[in-house]
Amino acid sequence: MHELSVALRIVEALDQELAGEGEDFQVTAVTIQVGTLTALVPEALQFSWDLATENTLLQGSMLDIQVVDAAGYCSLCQVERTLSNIQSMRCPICRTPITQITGGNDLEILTVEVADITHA
Amino acid sequence: MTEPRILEVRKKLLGKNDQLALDLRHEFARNGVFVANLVSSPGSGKTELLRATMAELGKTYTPAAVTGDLATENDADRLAESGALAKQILTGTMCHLEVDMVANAIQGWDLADLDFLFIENVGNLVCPGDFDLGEDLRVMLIATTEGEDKPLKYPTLISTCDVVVINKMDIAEAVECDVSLLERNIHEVRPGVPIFKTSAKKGDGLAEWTAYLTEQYKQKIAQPA
Repeated sequence: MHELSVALRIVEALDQELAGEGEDFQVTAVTIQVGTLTALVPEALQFSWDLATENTLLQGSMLDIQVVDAAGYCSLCQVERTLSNIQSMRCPICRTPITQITGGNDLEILTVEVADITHA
Repeated sequence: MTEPRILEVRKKLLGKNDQLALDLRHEFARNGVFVANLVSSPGSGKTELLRATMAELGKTYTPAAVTGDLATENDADRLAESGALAKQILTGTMCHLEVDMVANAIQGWDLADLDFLFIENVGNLVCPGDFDLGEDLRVMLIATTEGEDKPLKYPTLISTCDVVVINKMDIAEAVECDVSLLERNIHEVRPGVPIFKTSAKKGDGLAEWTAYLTEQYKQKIAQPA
């Protein structure tokens, strides 16, 4: 599912994000959230990470992946519900079909952990 | 090294967050072009439906198309038969279209001349889901020949679609397709999604389908760019 392509996009986005941080730091970890509706496979993202970060400022960093369920707004219950079965987009409590997806359909870069390099 | 520190990023990458797709979307809006991205498995009738759609819309509007395939220019040739502008994107081994491929394909076109741009994606029910092409409408095409449980098998792509077209209605009975079960399954994974039923070859359902597209076009044009 093109996890390498997606990993490269994460690298590109972080390149931009970290542009203002100067030069004396090393990225030690990147934490992302991946929704179940994206069809992305976390293992494949992990596998692609080393290759995607080679010769970039993210080289050597760990990729921490949090998988998030789909979520939608139930118009009957008037509350957001977690949808753990994406083949049946219904409120788990009242079974009303959910037309408004509120989460789990994206990849979000949450945080970056950096270690400043001090020179003796 | 010092203790590591955490930087908040909170940046979404997929869905409608791709910058190039956003730029292309703005350009389409500025030029009053309504863009539809057609996804389906191979052989469901995308090209035939587009050919018929463009022939009908072409009576009143100016439609154009870009079509993606791994090889051959046959689909672009078919779409150009109606006299419309059509460009083939040869993807080599890429199994889906990405926005830069679309942007390159339409270079040199004067978007101000166009009313509709149809993007025929590569036949694939998995990969196109995460790739925003700058479209206004994502259309999933499912043929009656594919089996009623197709939507249940590919919930992720269908969850990104705005409308579903069930094609090859003329042979539904011959292949023993339970169309109402297919519709129920579509609504199980994508509640509320509008469904149109067509036979692109016979022309059935084309009037309703093109009326819907025309209405969508008019609504877009009425909004400020």
